[in-house]
Amino acid sequence: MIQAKNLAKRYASKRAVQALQGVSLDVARGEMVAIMGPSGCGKSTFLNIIGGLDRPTEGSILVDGIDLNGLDDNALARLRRRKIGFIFQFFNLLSTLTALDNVALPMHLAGIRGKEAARRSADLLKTVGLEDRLDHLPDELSGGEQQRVAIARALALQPPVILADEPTGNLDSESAKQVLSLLGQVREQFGATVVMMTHDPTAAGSCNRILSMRDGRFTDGGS
Amino acid sequence: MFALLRYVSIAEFRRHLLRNILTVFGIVLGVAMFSAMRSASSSLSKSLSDTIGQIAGNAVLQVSAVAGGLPEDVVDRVRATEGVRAAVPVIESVVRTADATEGNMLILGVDMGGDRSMRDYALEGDEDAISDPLGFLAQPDAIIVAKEFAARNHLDEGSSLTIVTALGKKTVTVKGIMQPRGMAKAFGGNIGVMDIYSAQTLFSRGRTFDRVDLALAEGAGIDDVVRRLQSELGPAYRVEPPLRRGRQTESLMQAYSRVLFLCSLLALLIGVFLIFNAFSVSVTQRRVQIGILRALGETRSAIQGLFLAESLVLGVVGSSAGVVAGVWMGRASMRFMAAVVEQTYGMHLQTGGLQVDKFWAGIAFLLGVAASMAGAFLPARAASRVDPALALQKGKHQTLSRSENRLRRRIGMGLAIACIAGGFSPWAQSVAAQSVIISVLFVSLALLVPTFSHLLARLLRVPMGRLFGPEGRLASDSLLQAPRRTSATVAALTFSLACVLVMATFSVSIKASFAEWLNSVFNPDLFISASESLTARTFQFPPSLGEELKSVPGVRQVDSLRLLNISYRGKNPLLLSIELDQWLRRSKPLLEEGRVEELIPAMAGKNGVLVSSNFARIFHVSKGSGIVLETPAGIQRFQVAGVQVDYTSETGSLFIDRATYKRVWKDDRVDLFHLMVQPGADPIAVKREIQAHFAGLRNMFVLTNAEMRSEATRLIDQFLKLQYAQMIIAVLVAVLGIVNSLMVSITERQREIGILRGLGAEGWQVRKAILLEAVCIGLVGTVLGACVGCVLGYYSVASLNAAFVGWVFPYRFPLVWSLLLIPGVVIVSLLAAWIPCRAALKTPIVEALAYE
Repeated sequence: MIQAKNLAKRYASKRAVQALQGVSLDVARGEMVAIMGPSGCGKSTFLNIIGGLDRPTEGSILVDGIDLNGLDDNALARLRRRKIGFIFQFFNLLSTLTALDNVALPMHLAGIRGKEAARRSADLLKTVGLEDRLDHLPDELSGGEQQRVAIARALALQPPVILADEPTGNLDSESAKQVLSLLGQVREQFGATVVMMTHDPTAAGSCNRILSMRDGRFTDGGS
Repeated sequence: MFALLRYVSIAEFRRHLLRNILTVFGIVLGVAMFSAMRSASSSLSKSLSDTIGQIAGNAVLQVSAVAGGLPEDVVDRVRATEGVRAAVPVIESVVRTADATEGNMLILGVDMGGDRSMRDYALEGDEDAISDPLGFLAQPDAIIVAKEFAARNHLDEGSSLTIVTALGKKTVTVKGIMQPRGMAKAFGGNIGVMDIYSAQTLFSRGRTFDRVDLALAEGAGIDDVVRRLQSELGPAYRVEPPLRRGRQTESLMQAYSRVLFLCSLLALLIGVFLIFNAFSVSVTQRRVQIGILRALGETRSAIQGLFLAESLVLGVVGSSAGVVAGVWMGRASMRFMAAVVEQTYGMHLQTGGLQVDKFWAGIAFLLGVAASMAGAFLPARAASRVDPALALQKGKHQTLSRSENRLRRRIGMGLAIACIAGGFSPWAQSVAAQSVIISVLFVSLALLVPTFSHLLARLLRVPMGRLFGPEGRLASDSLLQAPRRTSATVAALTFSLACVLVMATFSVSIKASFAEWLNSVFNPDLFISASESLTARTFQFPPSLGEELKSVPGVRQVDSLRLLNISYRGKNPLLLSIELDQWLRRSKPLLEEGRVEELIPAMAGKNGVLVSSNFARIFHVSKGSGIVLETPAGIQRFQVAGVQVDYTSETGSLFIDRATYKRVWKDDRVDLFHLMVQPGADPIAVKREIQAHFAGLRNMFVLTNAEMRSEATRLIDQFLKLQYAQMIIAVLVAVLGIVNSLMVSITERQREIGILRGLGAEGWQVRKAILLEAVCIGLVGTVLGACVGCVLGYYSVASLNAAFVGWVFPYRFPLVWSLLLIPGVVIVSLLAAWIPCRAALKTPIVEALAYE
């Protein structure tokens, strides 16, 4: 589902930073992979590149058979919309939209009509246990609830890939447990491939495969 | 504090340089206008008093006739009065030179024998020309001109100069050149001097003079001499210091200054909103920084102080730039006002050097700084309330202020109702009361704008979604859910557009009222004027000309109009006299009080007067009131027979029957003849007939009704020019408000834009959502601005204007302007949003997502 080959990323500044150094990884469809490592090891950079949010300096990346290097910005945007669902550590919900509207947003962007989008969003929020929070703004929800909204949003267009960047990093243990259980449920119910960056061994433990990264390289499992 | 400013604020200023420049620009504009208005006004006042002083020379007092000229014997009576050392007769006339580009020229007719004790002629070269008055007298066409004028017209001694007088074009010969000092500097150098008896002939003064300038004997008190002269000469003559003669011009300049003053306050008010907006965003963006500073031990008050100190710096920078820009703007205003004065009163004022009024420039500077700090006060207070724990937690966004505030709404509503009710009440009809009401009204509107903005945004939600799909919904939702972010933008826009509409209402209402008035009273077929200008009347016709005109084939009726500025309770209203019965036969005066059929019995040959509505308001008179006027026939009591709509004079007008005028003012001269042609006769043919009849005999300006209307309309347009200039400034301020606010708003939303892009929004979708939001803000501001503008526009023509000039114009809605505003605002909003939108789309998504 995801094929990364020799990915490298350099940030040019006064002192050039090599965030990734020839990273390769294959993730099969339906697999749930955890990537662990200390802060600054390149996890998020790797996630951003496989999610099409950033471009590698070198190497290639294929998602569902599509070479991301060959896509322009708009094509990348369409790929993100259709193939990838993002879950961020800090939720990244739009503070001006209700839970329902946040979930419906990717559907709106994909051209799904308002009523249909609202119905499907309500279903997704029910799936994540937030059927009584449809009209709440993010500020009115707890951290765990916001992350569940983010998960529902990531599932809005049923993408084959879910990328989660420290999904439990900002949550208490009870909320973290709920979110992990939800991710497992999502993988089973929607058949999604999940790649999760985390510091949390418990979160990593819920995955099929655990990879470690240090100084822009996988230290095991990947290459 | 200085350390914080140095280490924290400078970097922030640099980081948001464009935003800061745009923010400061509002202050620059307000301060510049305030300072310019004062400097231009005081420079022109000085130029005016210099001109009057230079022409008056050593004269301490001047004697003039209330109507008509001064007979020669009056000079002897003045000279014989105790305390008078010297008295010299003068004829003063503003003429047009044949070369129209040179503008008007002031010609003084003086008695060469005695006048050198009164004025310094500073002749160059042949002093004998003036030292030999008999020689000068022997040449009736001799004139001395100022060096500046001579240089501009390539004149030398012996050159000929053609001037336009009541008797047609006349050629005079230059016999001397005055050096550019003293009197020669008056009237912008466009000045000439000739022998008084030659001037009497040239300007058809008969055996009269225009005034007598006098110097006092040593030790004589001015008040005593005035009293003695007034008692000796009686009420037919006016004795006053020279500077009082510039009163009318001063009042015109003051009217313009007042308008500019209001404009500068508007710019400063908008500046307050821009500062508020910029600092609100800055506080939100610098939340983490504030948290760090608090964690490092800074107190709440230090944080508040830091933001206020930043606003102080911005205020000082903006105000300094404003004072400098004010010099440039002052020069432009001065030239504009001088041109209006010249066109209106024929007086050419020197506009060479702007004298910066340091006191008012200082006040403008302080106002700019105060406006900057006032705008930053609430955001600074919000900054001091930032919770350091929340601020330092990444991803936690503290809401600094809840969207709606019931108390604010109630206070705003209460103040608005009180202002509207109070504004129309009789006790609030003074300029001071109206100024207070307007200020409070603006405060109340500022408090109410977020509420109305929210309501309108709710109304927009469904149509935006239907019309523009998800991007439209996103745009309207963003507006709805972030009132704090958008209300300052909307408020700035609302006020600017409201001011544009108020000015548009004002000019549309004036024009419509004026047109209606013209239709009711301006119905003669032909007008015959002795002066080219309708307002600067320097020549009059003898009454006998009326009889001659009647004899011209095709002429049916001739009315003789005399216009005279009189003194009444410290002001100079205009007295108009005409053959009342003839006038009423052809006109339909727009009466506010009284009935047409009552006018003849009350006024024909009697001391009955028809006053204008602004006169009635300024002097608090109504039908039946008594008016006491000083006239050449002594103190006369007149009774108000009616009140009519009349826009002839901004200080009010009084209409009397010509028979009464001739009896009381002892003057039978005529400024304008109104002619009606025989039924079926062509006015243009009759005009040609008249011109042929008087060709070479008399200089007269014959205008058809259409030409006269066009001239009258030109005068109104000239008055409204400043109004248009103001509207341009208000539009400029509005554009500045839109550009600044939208740029700030979009910059603040980098993270949101990053999220949208992360979720798969394509560039065009993000762009569409942002641009639509800008359009939404523009539309909400336009609708609110239109509502506020309509209310204030109605208020300004119905009440405010009555307090300022006494005229109440029927309200007219400025439909064209309103229709232009919508596309105008939409286009400006789109342009304003385009640049930051492009910048936001260029920002890498990962960077945008990390944006706080």
